[in-house]
Amino acid sequence: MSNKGEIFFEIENVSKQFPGVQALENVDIKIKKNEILGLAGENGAGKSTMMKIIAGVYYRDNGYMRFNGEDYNPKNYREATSMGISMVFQEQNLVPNLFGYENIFLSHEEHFIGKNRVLNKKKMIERTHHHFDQFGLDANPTKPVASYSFHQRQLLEILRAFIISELYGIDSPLILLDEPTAALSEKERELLFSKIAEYSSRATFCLISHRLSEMMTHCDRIVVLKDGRNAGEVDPREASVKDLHSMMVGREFSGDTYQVSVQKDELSEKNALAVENLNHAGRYEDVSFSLKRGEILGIGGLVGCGKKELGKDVYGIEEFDSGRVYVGDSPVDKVTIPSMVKRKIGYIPAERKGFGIIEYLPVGWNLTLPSIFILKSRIGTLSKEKEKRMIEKYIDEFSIKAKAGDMCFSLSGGNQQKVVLAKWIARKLDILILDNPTRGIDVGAKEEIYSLMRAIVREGVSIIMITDDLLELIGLSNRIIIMKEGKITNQREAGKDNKPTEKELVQYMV
Amino acid sequence: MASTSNTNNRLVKYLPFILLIAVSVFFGILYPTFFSIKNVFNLIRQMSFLMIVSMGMTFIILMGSIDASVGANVTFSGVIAALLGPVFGVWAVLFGVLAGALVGLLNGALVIKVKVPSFLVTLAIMGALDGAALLLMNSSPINIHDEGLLNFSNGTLLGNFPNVCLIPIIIVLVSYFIISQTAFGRSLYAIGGNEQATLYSGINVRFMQLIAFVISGATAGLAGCLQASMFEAACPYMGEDILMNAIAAVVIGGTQLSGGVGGPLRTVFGVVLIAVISSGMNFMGLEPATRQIVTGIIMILAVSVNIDRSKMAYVK
Amino acid sequence: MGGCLVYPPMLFCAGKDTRVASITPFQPKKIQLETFVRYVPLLLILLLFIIFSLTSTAFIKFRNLVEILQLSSIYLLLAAGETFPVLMGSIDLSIGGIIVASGVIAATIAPYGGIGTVVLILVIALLLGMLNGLIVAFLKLPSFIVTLATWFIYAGIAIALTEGYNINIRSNQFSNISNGRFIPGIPNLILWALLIYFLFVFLSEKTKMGRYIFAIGGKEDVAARMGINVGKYKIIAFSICGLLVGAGTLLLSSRLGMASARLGSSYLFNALIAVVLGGTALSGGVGGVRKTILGVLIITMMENGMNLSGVDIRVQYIVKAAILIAGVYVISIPDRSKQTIMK
Repeated sequence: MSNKGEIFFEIENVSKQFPGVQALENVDIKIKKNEILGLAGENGAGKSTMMKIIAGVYYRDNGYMRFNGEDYNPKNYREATSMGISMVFQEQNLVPNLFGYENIFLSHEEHFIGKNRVLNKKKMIERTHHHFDQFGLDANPTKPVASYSFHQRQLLEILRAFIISELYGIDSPLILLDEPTAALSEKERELLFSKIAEYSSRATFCLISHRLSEMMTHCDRIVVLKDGRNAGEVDPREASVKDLHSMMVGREFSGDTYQVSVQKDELSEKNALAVENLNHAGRYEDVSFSLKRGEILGIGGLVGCGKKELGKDVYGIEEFDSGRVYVGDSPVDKVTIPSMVKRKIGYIPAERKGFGIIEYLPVGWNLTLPSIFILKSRIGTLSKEKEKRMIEKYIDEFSIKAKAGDMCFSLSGGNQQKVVLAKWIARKLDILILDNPTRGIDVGAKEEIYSLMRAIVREGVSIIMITDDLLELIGLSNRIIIMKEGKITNQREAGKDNKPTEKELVQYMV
Repeated sequence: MASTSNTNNRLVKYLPFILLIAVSVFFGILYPTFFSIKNVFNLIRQMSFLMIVSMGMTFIILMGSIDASVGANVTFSGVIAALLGPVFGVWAVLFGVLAGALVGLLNGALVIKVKVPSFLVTLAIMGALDGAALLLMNSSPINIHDEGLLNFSNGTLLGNFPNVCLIPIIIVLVSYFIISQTAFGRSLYAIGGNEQATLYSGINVRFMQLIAFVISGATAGLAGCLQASMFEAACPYMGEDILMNAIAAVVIGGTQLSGGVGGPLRTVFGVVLIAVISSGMNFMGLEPATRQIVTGIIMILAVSVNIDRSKMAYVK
Repeated sequence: MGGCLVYPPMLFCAGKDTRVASITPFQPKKIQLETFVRYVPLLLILLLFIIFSLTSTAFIKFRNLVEILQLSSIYLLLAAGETFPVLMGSIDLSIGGIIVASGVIAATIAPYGGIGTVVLILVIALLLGMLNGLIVAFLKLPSFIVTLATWFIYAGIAIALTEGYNINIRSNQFSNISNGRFIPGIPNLILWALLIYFLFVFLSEKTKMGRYIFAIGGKEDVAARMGINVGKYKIIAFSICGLLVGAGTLLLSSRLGMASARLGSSYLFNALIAVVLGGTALSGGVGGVRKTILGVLIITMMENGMNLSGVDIRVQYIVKAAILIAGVYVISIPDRSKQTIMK
């Protein structure tokens, strides 16, 4: 099956650098006609960047790309689509207020303009209807796509790839799918893959997924990237998920990475924080748990299981519908960010750039931001001396490789994350909620973050760690909670000598 | 990316100085009396209320918002002071400032509660204030006869140092102190840099925004009282062109419209620059309307040099 | 670096969570609210009609209704023009400036009210609008700040040319454009306004241009990625705004027989209120030129009714400001998540 067709898309020696990160380094990939190629790798391995380069969204720094044997250098995404290469972006490439058919033909309307320069809407709608029927997409092409379900919007994007390539007389498009299943339910996932399989005779697919088993079942071949380089290739018929995983990670689960040996298993009986019957319609329901002092409580589950929203609600970023949050033993009347910070709780978001750091402020100012109202001088102003001491202390203690005056955007992801971590530790908190604390950080920096977390806990801070990374979840947590579709499905101890295996946890996730 | 933004920063940092020197030399050579004591004093009088309003505007622009109501607020507060002058004398100024601050409070409350963009809220408030001011003064100027109130601008509190100079200097120092030495000031930079991240850091962003609008309103109120006292009357639309000049002064000084960068001392240079250009245009015999055109052009130029486009998701 | 320059929006894909949230899944509660908001303009018109009919006997007289329509005609063109940038998520604050500048410049060059005056008004207004668009697109500046400045610049030009006085345009021919009557009892300006308005409704709904303006207002980064020349359509939208404001200026000058440098201040507010009350959200992408006519009827009925009821014009300023804020608030209820950089 793997020699399904001739090679029709070649990537040779492609590199791409972003400020502070080498996203790709000398990557080679060959895509064969009509195959379903998987692209695997950890977060930050460069998969999305690779796809965006193929789709003409980014431009490579060097290397070659050949499409059907000819040099392929799309100037932009539109040019790529008109040459038969389309991408289904993670963040969805649709204009929400436009109708389904309008989105499909957006920027290709010239094929439907009559002599009087008026759009032939009827023809566009008819054509869309025809394709919707053929594809089995049950949606109204004359409704705004904002009213479609997530799954429908995704199918619409795949369908668009076919329709546009047909407009340009291309018989076999290359369709790139960036984590198409991340936000889909089980049933929708099956549906999507059956569509992909059905259409693989008429198109070539390249897809990224974090669900390894899914890739193993549905892909003909899997190319693995690691830290922006080729890490190998897997034939799903011969290899196991475990092989794929170890190729991606480049390491087996090792207690050393997570410093399991220093894990403190004797915990105080006292609760640092407790959550009782928390509900948030459409996100999660009836969630209760408690966090012991000095422990790392890991919360795992698939993307979309509600763990992320749970973390946000407990910190007061969004409001939950009902339930109660206790800090120590006292209930919190109204959970808002300032009230939680006052109760010595901090939050580290997964989206570092959007919510964690302030890119265009100095490292020092980022570091002291939560503390500015307590760094008081005698007359009540912001004490520059205390601030300076705090900044120096934490840059040193967290070995942040930057000067206090450097703008945060110039730092590497790992150092930025250390700044975010340090700003809360500097505030002298009791509880930290971390959402994917090591996302988009290279391996070395990850280990540094892990040892910092261990050190923080030793000093009596309690941590709730929400993470998509299974090994991290197992390695760091004292206790583990698994969520599935908004409910807690498993709660278990994960003591030093009592670590669960991945398999044991995964069964509660899917 | 780092390199361009650095060069850009450096350019922006020194631009006001270079421009100020260039413009001063230009007018100094062209008109020998430009730097006569009389004209310099005139210059200071002219820029006193602009300086005050621009300080308040600096708070707002630092956090990435805008206050389009300051001009109308100057008129409105000036009328309040002029009306209350016969009753309270110089203390009418307090009521003027209070009126301005209340307008600021209204602006701030609408921005944070109704969640409407600040330029729109303040634009609407501008319209309302114009109406209210006209109503209060019955569409014609209110003359000020009260000695106390007149002395507010013409008198001296500190030896021979005229109040017209003293008041703006005090405001500049206070603004500088608040912005650079307090946690509130620091949080304005953070809000301008990334409002969400600031919120996530436990800062009460809404409250800070409210305070900033109150400060902007209060400075506009003070400027209105000063202007009314100086003109010996509160006139319809007297603050109209302050808005444009204040935004231009803040931005040309180096505080970015996108928020998070800049500060009050930079604004001082912006104000002096605007005042020198405006006085120079006076020397050239340009009419107010022409000066208005030039100010508008300067504002667009200033903003276009000094805006961090990478920080604006998409510019609308 | 190259990539960042060519695709600035890509830099901001980091916040993808909020992006997905903005196309939230189907939520019945929201839809109900949207339906309600959709009918607010019609309900308001009905309500105002009833109130003013009861409070003032003069209100429902035929002559007064024609008066309302005449007033509406001019606002209709201004507001329809303003709708284009607003649909795109931008704003044009300079329309008051365009009104006075185009009228005054044209009347200065050609005060005789011939075809030259007509063409000049339209061309100058178009160019002034286009200048707004060029600055916004090429200097990449926020439209509210650009048009705030050009408002002052354009108004300054008008005042400089006239020293604040009106320029009379004495010509029966010119006056007949607005005041003549093809249909007995109905001044021509109403017909002109409706004709031009529906032409632009047609353009906004049936052409590529109209759709792209919606797309830019909906999601500018996606529109750019799909290959739409965003800058070009921004310039077009601001130019159309200028042209329609020019048409409004033409009818206004013809009706009054003069070009004035002191007309513009309240027109901006009325136009913005009409756009917003019609149902076009300031965040862009929602609403349409077609809807603006309802907003215009509301604002003119209100103005007329308040005048008849003897409400002080200065109080009306305050009322209008309140309506503008309230209108923006109500219209944006269904989609509060879509806050752009306009803090």
